[in-house]
Amino acid sequence: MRLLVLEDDAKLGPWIEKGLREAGHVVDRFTDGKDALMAAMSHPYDVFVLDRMVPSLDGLSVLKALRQAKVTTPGIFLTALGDVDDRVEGLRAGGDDYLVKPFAFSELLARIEVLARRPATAEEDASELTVGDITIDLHKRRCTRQGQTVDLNPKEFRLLEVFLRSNGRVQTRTMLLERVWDMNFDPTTSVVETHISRLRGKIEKPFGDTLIRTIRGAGYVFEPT
Amino acid sequence: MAQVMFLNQLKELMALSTVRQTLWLMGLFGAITLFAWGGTYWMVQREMERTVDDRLSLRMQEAIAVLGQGGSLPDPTDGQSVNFVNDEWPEGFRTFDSEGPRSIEFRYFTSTTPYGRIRLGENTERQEELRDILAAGMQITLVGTLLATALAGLWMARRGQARLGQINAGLAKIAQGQLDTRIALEGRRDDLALLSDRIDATAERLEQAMMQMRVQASNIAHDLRTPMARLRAQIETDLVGLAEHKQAVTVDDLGAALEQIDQITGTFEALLRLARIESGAGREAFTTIDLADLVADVEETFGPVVDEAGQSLTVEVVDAAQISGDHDLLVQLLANLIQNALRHGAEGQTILLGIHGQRLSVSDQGPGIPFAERERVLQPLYQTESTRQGEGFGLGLSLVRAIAELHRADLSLSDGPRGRGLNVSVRFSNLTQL
Repeated sequence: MRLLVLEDDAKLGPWIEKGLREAGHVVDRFTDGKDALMAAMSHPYDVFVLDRMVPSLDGLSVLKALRQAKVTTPGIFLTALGDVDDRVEGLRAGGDDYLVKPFAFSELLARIEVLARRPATAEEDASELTVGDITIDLHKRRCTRQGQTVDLNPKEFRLLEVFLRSNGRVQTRTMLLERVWDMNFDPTTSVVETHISRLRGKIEKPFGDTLIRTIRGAGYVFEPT
Repeated sequence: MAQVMFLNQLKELMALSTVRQTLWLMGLFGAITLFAWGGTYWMVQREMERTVDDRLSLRMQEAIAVLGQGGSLPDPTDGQSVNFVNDEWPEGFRTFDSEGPRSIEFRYFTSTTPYGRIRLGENTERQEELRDILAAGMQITLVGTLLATALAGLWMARRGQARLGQINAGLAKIAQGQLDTRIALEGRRDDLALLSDRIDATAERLEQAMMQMRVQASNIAHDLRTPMARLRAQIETDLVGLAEHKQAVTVDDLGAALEQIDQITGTFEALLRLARIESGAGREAFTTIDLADLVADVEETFGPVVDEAGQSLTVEVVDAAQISGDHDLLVQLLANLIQNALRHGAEGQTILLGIHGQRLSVSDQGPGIPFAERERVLQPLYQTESTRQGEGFGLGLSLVRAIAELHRADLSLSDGPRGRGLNVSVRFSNLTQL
């Protein structure tokens, strides 16, 4: 994918650029809002990654200008942990997603990939999803592994679905809370840990292997056999 | 120099509203007195002149009658005169002051009769005396009025000024940051006392707010210091291990460091969330929420968590109401209450989550919270004396309070069932009442 990154921070900018390159994307990074706007108007990009606070023209104004020029490329905002109302403002300006600094890189990557896939692909519309020896029926809410039916409650089912769609990318707690429980806050209790442990008990234990690997401090990776 | 000082003092005095009021009153009373006296003087004078003139006219008629009967001009009595004249004076009445060291006023009536030009005169010295008495009376009244007004004004000014001065001094102290200052105006319950009461109440609220902020700031610092210290220790250990013993940094080492950082940012995020909720933002995004659905959702998510902790969650729903609210925030409210019950409750306890109409409650079987501390645990990051370092109430209960307030719901802390544990209940208003 070709990505436009607008981030002027001397450490964060190169970090994002390097990470996205390593993930196999083409990255054009800008440190100035006007330059970024010029580039975005003249080149095709798959996703814009925009910092809110940059010199000359802030990320919000850049995206507003792009939306006015009928550029519909999805945009994700990065913002310092500061103004909580930023989120609403950013989404109103035409942003598609929002990430608060400090953030986990895997989360940024996952969100960019989700944005790039829009609109929904045929795969997402399919009624069945199969990864490795696990198949889930999205309409009948049924899960089978190696032909055996696994009974999952709705949250476990949704959790598994998110993992099956994760393509081997790290899923952070924040991402899981948002996608499975629709929670935009940290419940401080071990909600994610507990449900993952239960899910493991159902899809790993009877089969004697490991599918979900815990990466301490980062999140979880789904690694099908 | 002394003159300048006096002028300055005068200026200060004039700056006092009571002194200015007194001067205004003095002016007003003086004017009224002068006007009243002037009117009286004018009327008395006119009346006296008329009497003299009537008498002179009568005497003229008598003189003409006597002359008509062939007699001669009647003899004037004391203070009167009667003569035939032949000069340029016009006909009619005229007042004349005699020349000389002691001026005596006369009133004359000149008339031309068939028997010659006659002039009658009368000494009006008596009336002049009367006028002098009147004038003296007026002066006494005026001086008396002004003196009395000035004295009364000064007295009132001193009294009012003393009270105003007290308020002024109190406010000056408050402005300097001494928020524990109270004016506590004594004496009559007048408007000044009311004003002082208001100022005292304001100062008290300010003092409380400042104190709360100070406590909060130190609580936040405390809450952040622990993970910061752990993070520092972690990284230092890894660094020293790597540098001195060529000990590789493991995935787990870095993960542990990340966990500490997440805890720090988590605290900030919760604080910002609290601030946002407290600002009242988001009420416009309220939707209709069925409390039964909400509780079912929460049970599904948190039930396993409670089980995992070796406790159990029991849900009791009776006549669940529909309320207007924010689903995400209400889930957080319940999550925080369950978290609080988990953390501070007894081992192996049953956490009761109940819905009775519009009332939502969570109770545990822990030690509960002493009555005196119930208000304080709702403050951000409050630590009870019994909770050891680091294991405070965090932001959980203050978020609960803020979310309840945003929903205009009543939050109350009480003893749990059979006097054991803590029961937190939130009573929402009717859907139609919001």
